[in-house]
Amino acid sequence: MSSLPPVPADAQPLSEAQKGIWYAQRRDMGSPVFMTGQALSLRGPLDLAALSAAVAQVGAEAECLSLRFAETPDGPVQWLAADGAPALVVRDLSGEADPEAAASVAIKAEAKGPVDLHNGPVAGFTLWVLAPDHHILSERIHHLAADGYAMVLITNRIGELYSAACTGRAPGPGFPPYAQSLEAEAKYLAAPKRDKDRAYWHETLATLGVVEGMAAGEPVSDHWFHRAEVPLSAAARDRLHALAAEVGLNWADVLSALAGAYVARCLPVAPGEEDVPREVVLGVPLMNRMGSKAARVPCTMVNVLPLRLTVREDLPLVDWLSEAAQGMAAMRRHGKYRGEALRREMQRIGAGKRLHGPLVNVLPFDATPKMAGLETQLQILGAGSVDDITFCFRGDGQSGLLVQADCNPRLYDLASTQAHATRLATYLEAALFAPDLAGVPTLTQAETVQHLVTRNATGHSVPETTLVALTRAQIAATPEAEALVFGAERLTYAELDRRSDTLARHLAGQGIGPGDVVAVALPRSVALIVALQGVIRAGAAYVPLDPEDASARRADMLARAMPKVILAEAGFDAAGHVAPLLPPALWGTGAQAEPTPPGPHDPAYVLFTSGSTGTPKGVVIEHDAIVNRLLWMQAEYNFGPGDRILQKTPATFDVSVWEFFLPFLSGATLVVAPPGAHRDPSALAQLIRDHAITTLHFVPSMLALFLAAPASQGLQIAKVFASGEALPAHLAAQFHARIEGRLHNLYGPTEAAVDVTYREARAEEPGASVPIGTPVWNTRTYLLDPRGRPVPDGVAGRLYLAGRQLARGYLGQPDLTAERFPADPFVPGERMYDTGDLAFAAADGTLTYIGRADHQVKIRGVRIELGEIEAVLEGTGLVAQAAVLAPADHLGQAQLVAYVVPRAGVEVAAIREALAARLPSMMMPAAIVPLQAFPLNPSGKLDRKALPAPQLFASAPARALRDGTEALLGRAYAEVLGLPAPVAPETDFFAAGGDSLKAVRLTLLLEEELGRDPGLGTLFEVPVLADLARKLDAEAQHDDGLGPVVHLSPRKGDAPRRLFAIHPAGGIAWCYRGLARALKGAEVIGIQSPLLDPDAPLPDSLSSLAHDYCDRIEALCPSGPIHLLGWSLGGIIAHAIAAEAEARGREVGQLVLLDAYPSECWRNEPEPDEGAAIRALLAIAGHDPDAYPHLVTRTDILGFLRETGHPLGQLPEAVQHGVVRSVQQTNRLVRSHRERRVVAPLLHVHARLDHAGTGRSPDLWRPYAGDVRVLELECRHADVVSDANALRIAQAVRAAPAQRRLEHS
Amino acid sequence: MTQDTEVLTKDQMRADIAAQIGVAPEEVEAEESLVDQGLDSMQVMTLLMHWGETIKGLDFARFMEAETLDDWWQIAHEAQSA
Repeated sequence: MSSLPPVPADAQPLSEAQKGIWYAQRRDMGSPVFMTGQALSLRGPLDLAALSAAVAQVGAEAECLSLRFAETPDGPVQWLAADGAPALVVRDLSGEADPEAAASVAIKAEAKGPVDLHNGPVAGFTLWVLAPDHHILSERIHHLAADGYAMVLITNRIGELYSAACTGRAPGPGFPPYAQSLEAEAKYLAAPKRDKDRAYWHETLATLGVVEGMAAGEPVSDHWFHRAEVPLSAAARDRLHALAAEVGLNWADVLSALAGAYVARCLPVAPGEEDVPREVVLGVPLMNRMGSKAARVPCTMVNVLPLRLTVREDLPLVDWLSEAAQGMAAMRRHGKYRGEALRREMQRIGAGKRLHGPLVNVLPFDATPKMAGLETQLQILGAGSVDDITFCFRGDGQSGLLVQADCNPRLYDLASTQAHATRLATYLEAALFAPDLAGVPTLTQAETVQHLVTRNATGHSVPETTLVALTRAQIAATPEAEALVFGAERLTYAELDRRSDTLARHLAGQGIGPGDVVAVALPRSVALIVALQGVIRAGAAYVPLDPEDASARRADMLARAMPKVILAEAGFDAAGHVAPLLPPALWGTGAQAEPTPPGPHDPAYVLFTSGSTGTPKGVVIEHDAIVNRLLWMQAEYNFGPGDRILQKTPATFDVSVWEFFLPFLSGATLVVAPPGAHRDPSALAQLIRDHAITTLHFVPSMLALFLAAPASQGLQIAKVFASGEALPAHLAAQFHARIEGRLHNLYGPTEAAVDVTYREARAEEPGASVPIGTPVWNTRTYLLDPRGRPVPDGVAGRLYLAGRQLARGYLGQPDLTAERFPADPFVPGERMYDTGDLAFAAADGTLTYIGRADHQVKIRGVRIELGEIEAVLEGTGLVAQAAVLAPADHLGQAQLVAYVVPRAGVEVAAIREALAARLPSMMMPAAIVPLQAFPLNPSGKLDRKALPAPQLFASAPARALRDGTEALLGRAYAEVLGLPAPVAPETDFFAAGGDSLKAVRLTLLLEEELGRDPGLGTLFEVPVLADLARKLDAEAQHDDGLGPVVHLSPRKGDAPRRLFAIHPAGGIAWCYRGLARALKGAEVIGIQSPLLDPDAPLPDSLSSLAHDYCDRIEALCPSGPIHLLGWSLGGIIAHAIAAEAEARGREVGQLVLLDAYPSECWRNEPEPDEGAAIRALLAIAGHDPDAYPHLVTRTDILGFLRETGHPLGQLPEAVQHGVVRSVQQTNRLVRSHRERRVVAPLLHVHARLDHAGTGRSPDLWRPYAGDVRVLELECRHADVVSDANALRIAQAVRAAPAQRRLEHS
Repeated sequence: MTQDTEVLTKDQMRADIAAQIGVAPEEVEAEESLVDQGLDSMQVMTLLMHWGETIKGLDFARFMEAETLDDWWQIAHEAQSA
């Protein structure tokens, strides 16, 4: 029986440093990322014997090379194995065509190989022979045994011993014993200094907020990492030393500080903190050896501690460096306190809870060893895991300095890794010479050109014209084409032309002309379309007003826009505004005049958007801007006759602008949806079908509702546009699954003529949301940091727009216009628009929207300034203070929540009523939370984070645990955390007191309960109970248990005894679950039939099936004896596998046949027909078929299985077919099978209540096995695998065959 | 740093350490951990390289293991007495 060597009684617990590594490795046992490795090139004549002896000697001296590790119930332990260090392995590659290339590949492959921490060795030394005078010595040591410094100690010692042997000089003394490192730790743990250090760290970190990374995603190490290296120039190195000397600092600290300043440039800025110096939290690895008895012990001591660094870019550089260095010195004075302990104590374990961001490591010592007669050159392969990004500076700073970026591939691709290394080096080269950091660009020169110029090369010839001219030209070209459909009404281009002109002449007769504003407050109708056409033909700009919103906002807009005429139905409430009302019925009835057409730079429309000062602001768009947008869209998406565009967007929302005007300048037809239809998915789908719509627009949240409606299934829509919100990638996928057509994601603010960037949304989009893409014609986009510097790719920046589509500004608000439309710093004489949106660019320049830089939010696609609602609240006179937030609800949708301090005696209901009179419904808070006073932060500002959870959520009763996985997790969390009752669904394991050790206990417990390892990594990623339950359920669904291999008992990280349980006739091995539970200590793996897959080919013999199964088993059990078990026909297969395994030279340990009889017993029996095969499902489900003679048909039987709740009844139909197929085919194979003899002894479990008079007896196996032992059970064939018998069988199986003591009864 | 003399005294060591960590020589506590007093590994290397010019065969490793100025002086004293 293969088993692990026992853990010695004197095994020691791991050090704090080791525990951190252990738990990280434990999350992913196979990962090689914790192997530290390096390759030493040796040129010159090598004395192989001397090197071999040196490696052997270092193995004896550096005890860490003999370490072994294991998990025990009391936590992980370590011990030293006698002669446990690896010997030098020699691999000759000199015969290869290109030995160097072959070595490079082989060394990399070797570096990525995992190690067996329990059996060892934990290290390896390989000498690669490339040529007689060229060798490479590769070294690898698990990080549990050695850190980077230990690697240097060991390597230098090899060099010293080798040189001593070659020169005959005596080497210096060897290493202190390993135990000295554990003693040093124990000494510190007991020292009063530790309490002081702890106090320092707790004080330093008490105010630590959320630590951000440079890349989105959780910093969980992958199996390997990307690396990029850039050397620093000699001039920069000289300057570094000069600057360090000038400030009186060491140059390593100068480098660390500047690297931190670079990191700050790559972090997102929190809203409202644009002007605050940015703080970065670096992870700084400290060697942690000086002044300790562990100084020279090869072991792992390195300690990563957080360094809070506030980057003051305006301070003189030397002053800031001094300040930064003080922080580093303070950190080092308290540098023995373990980072792992801090992580625990500060509750910085698990998703979103980093203790620090990027690592910065300066390795100032030349680590290349000297070896007599040899020229040595060192390459570092790996130095432990890379959770996020590690910036490393290697070299002494005098002769050379290498800037190295190691990145976690889960967070950074190779290109961004290279970009970070290059950019950091460039940044350092500039920063070292700069008076302060403010003027140092973040990007390299090449990147700057790429970002500002290349990506904005959108120049395209667009005529200077107007919507009016373009529409008239199209009408002249296709006068009889269908222009407009609304219900039963249809207008040709010529009719639309005539009616539009009528209104235009009427307006001109009222004295309306270019520069004037006409308000349009009509519901969707033919009149609305005619109104818009008529207004622009009269030379004026239209301002749309919501005919249904009679709140105070309307009065504001009318007062600001000062329309000369209002086009609305009679009875429209103009809120006291004096302009005449012109209802559609009267159009063309008054004085007429020839209209004056607008010029390209006359306003075409004015749209009001939410304004933070409490009143909406009117955005003025000129014809030239919107013409660019519409002609781009026509060309990009090939609009023309035959296109049928649905108009469903309210006119007050800028998306409506292209719906209204694009059709008439491209020859398409505009289909106007009935009022209200845009909110009803079924009505929309009907409209799309009835009118053969080719084009329409959705705000993503409405698209989600639309796609969720059954009516949207199978629609054909050539062009669907989404804008107004981030478009989730899953929504794009859903779109393509349901709708035949293309989906385009557009982005743009009202201030830049509807949309300025575009991108097609495909079914597979990599990120969480579909990128907003790249700029349209004649448009530039800039992503800038708060100081106006372009940000690197992947880093959030504030999005600025420039080019032809910019609005003229805000109506009557020159100051606001100047503020939001500043001068374009990159193109003299031009303006840009500050969107207040945050986005990042991919390496190809594609932009992705992230969110708002300010407190503006979007509720169902509509832009809302929270400040506007706050101002309105304060304007009611009912509240002393107001703050409005938009937290996401449980579905992730933003909800408006108003916090107020009511004036004395004011009820919330009164506030709500007052608000409703002043705000449209979309701006009404979902909850109003009254407070006695607002929580303030130390600077006296409102502390938004300290506001209580809104009534909205609190009023809902706290949810109970759901049955199933949640309930199980509730109990398991409580058990592991030592709590008296099951915890709530929202419990975060780590926040509730869980640490790494408890996390391991929890996963072990869950393994027992769930029958599979949920994975420690999973727990770290989703520590919240309800989330974890969801994830586990999703995974369980994914693993349907029908694959070729099914784990019937918890998977063990180490290699326990594995027992392979072979499926019976039905092909499924679930029947062994009870037995697997009873067989504690063994891992039971079910082997299932390929025939469950309806497409699998039929095997031609049982032997070939056994051959395939043996392959599978060997892959899972590459060494040691193979243990097999099978019930019924599964026993025959198990025996055949045993024969195959023995033929392959493998030892068969146990062969357990559960009431199985050799194939000869079946040879003359009829093969089961389909009916019999279907009835076999009953037996497979654990029922005696004979007890249910009335169940005959497939429907009967499956219905019965469903009723009894058996999982077989729930299987997909294809699998049910597969089971029947497996029954028939396995029976067929058995009938032509002939047993071979196996050497292994066989344990037969005999069901005594069946087989009477059949002649089937365990003795029939004697010719085919080394020995036959029998366990007699008083039961029937079907009951052998029942839970009742599982314990008996398990007992018999556990008794090792070598002991030859089996129970008989 | 040290004068160009043939011997290294404890006071000279104290003065050199003080210069490295930016305090007055009398502020260096002889019985307290040098790390706790702010001396970092790069500064130690700088000191040892410098003292190594005065005292031949200085065992850097022993300095790394030692904790206080008193310990360091012990090592330097032995090396000079040898």
